[in-house]
Amino acid sequence: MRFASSIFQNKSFLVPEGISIIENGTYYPISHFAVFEPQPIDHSYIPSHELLTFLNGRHLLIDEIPFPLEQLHDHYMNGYLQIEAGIQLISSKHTCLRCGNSEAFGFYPCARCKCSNCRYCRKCIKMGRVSSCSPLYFSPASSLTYPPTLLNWNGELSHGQNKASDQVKLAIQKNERLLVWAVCGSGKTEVLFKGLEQAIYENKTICIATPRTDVVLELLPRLRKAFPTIAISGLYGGSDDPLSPFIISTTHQLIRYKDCFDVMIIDEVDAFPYEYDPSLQYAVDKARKNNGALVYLTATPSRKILKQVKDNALPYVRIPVRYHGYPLPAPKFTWVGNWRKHIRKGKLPSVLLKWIEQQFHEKKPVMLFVPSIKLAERIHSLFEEVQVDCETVHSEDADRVEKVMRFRNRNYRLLLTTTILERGVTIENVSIGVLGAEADIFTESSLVQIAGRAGRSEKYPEGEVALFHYGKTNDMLLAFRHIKSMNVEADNRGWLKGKGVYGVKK
Amino acid sequence: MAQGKRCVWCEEVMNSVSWEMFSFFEEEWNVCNECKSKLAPISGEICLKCGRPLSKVKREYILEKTCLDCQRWVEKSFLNGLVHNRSLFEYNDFMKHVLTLYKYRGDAEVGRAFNSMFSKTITKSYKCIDFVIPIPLSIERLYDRGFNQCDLWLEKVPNRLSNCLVRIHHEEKQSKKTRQERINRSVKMFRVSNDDLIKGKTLLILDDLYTTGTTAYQAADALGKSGAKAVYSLTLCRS
Ligand SMILES: [Zn+2]
Ligand SMILES: [Zn+2]
Ligand SMILES: [Zn+2]
Ligand SMILES: [Zn+2]
Repeated sequence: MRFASSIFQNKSFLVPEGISIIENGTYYPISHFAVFEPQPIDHSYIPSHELLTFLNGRHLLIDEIPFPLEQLHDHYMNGYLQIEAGIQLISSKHTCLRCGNSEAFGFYPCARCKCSNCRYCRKCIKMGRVSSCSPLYFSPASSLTYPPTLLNWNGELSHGQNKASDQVKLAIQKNERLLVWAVCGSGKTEVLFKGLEQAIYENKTICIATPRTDVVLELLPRLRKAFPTIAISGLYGGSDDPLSPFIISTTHQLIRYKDCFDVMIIDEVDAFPYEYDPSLQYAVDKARKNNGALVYLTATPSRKILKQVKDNALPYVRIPVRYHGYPLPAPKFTWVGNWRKHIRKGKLPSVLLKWIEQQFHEKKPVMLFVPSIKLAERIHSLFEEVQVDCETVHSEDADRVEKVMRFRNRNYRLLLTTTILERGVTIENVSIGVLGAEADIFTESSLVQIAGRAGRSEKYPEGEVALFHYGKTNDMLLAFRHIKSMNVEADNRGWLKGKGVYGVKK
Repeated sequence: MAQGKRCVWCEEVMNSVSWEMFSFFEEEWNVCNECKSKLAPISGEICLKCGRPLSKVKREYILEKTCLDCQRWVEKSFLNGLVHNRSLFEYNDFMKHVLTLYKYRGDAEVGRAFNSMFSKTITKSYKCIDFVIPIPLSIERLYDRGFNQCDLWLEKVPNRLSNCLVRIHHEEKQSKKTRQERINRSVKMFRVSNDDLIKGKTLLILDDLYTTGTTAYQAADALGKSGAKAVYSLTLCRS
């Protein structure tokens, strides 16, 4: 879109092309302008409640706003919404203001601004195209009032949870940062409840962000049940919940927000792709209010976060023990030789087959993690040859949810998967195997998460985790030590049941 | 940021080893081998009229290397005809995906990957052509999308003629329909803005997809009635 700059009664402002206010105005793509001073609020103007509710705290392209341009312009002129160029020069680099990208751009001859080489952001184009001529509209989050709310949850917190819960509440009250380092199966969602109740009491906008849609879908019903009087929206690609001041969102969707949330909680902060994608971090920072609280939740903090902890730059609280109080199952290492060569020749390693038979014999289903989709498919066919009924689940699998459900219902006994299922899946009494644990993709945190699938239920807390490898890697040893140190810490605090279990020996 | 060039379609890092699968893929093509292998270039015997692979047409529907659909177009004698259509690729699921990214998501770079292929094809196989005309979008749609996907493919083609053929806007269609057109019951899709430019010229129209042929025949008809000598059609895909 093109805009012309104008001055009236000592106020300078922008006028979009197509609104007949300026005669003979010279129009430029919006990125032509360097400053976007907000207009002062005119209290005699009555803004549209619908428009303000819609734009509240959001950061949107014109194509995403179902209100006419004239109305948007009026609200801008009267100080109720602001505009800025979607792509601007920031420290002399072209930068997408919506996602923070300053590297991946494309160009096209643009019908909207008549520029033969209009720049656009390729990084966030999935969410609509931000071009040099795209204005971004936003309206600062307004104050809100939640209905009176009581937490609807009567569960009991474990010792570890209790301590973390108090700290979360404090961080939210004081608008501080906090890392909650909670082992897999410690019940980290419950740890949030008291803090969220406090945030609602203080009428704070809340966002729980996670890199994965699966997690959004899992958290939504649990939180809606805990806060039945509060509207909680789920945001992920394809969702259509009406917006509310309390959202559970994928980190991707946050690029459509700006200065919106008083409380930002990031679940699985280390999960792919958040950790590797600077634009998602940009989005999280942009969506949070400058003085907002920031809580990270994870079982496996990244080096970057641990460094902040070490430098005393990030306060943290650790929950080293599972909700049920039994120790984390530590992985056992089993050498399988050159298993890739075996597979190529159409054979499964016999140690692996024997181990799986043993698990089946003990009535335990098996989740077997392998390094890649291609290998998973190859191994799948080899298992079928020896008549083991199995299914394969990978990231591009449309039937993922259904396949996991049938596995949970014991419809088949062997689930082959890639790291895609390293988090979030809970299967009672499952045994965990990793074939090719030496592969680069199985990092320390990945292995800790994978091991964290075992022994989750109180009924069968002693899970089996077997790493089949062709040479131990540093990451395998680190994962083992990580798990062991958590068990030791829990034991030292006197929080551990079932002593003498493998992995707790000092 | 990871090192190395990324595939403009799938965003995976490309390994530098390149093997040439089709002669018209450029050495510096920024699409990875995995993606390349999912394309289906049209080869072998084709319908001489519409360029569809004859292997996809039932035997009894082929007459003198022309498919039944094309025989039917010939019967519609009120239309100025099309010399023929040629298409580069089959319209498979992967191509559908690529075109979705290009047209609807609006990622210009995704489609630009085909530019050199079009340039080469036009230089090599359409020597007799005076002008190449991209199939236009309506003004509203052009504004919505930001660019015309066919026009962008011709960026580097010197004899491109972009604003001559105009897509008739919906309202315009209603009001300006002549009596003759109402009788013929053919809703015109195109008009020519400047007859002088194309009078006596041999033209090539460029589109992304040839399905029933309606668009190509309608464009050829409008151009023919404005005095074009002959009209050829080239599309990225044949469905
Ligand atoms: Zn962007
Ligand atoms: Zn533009
Ligand atoms: Zn690719
Ligand atoms: Zn044909």
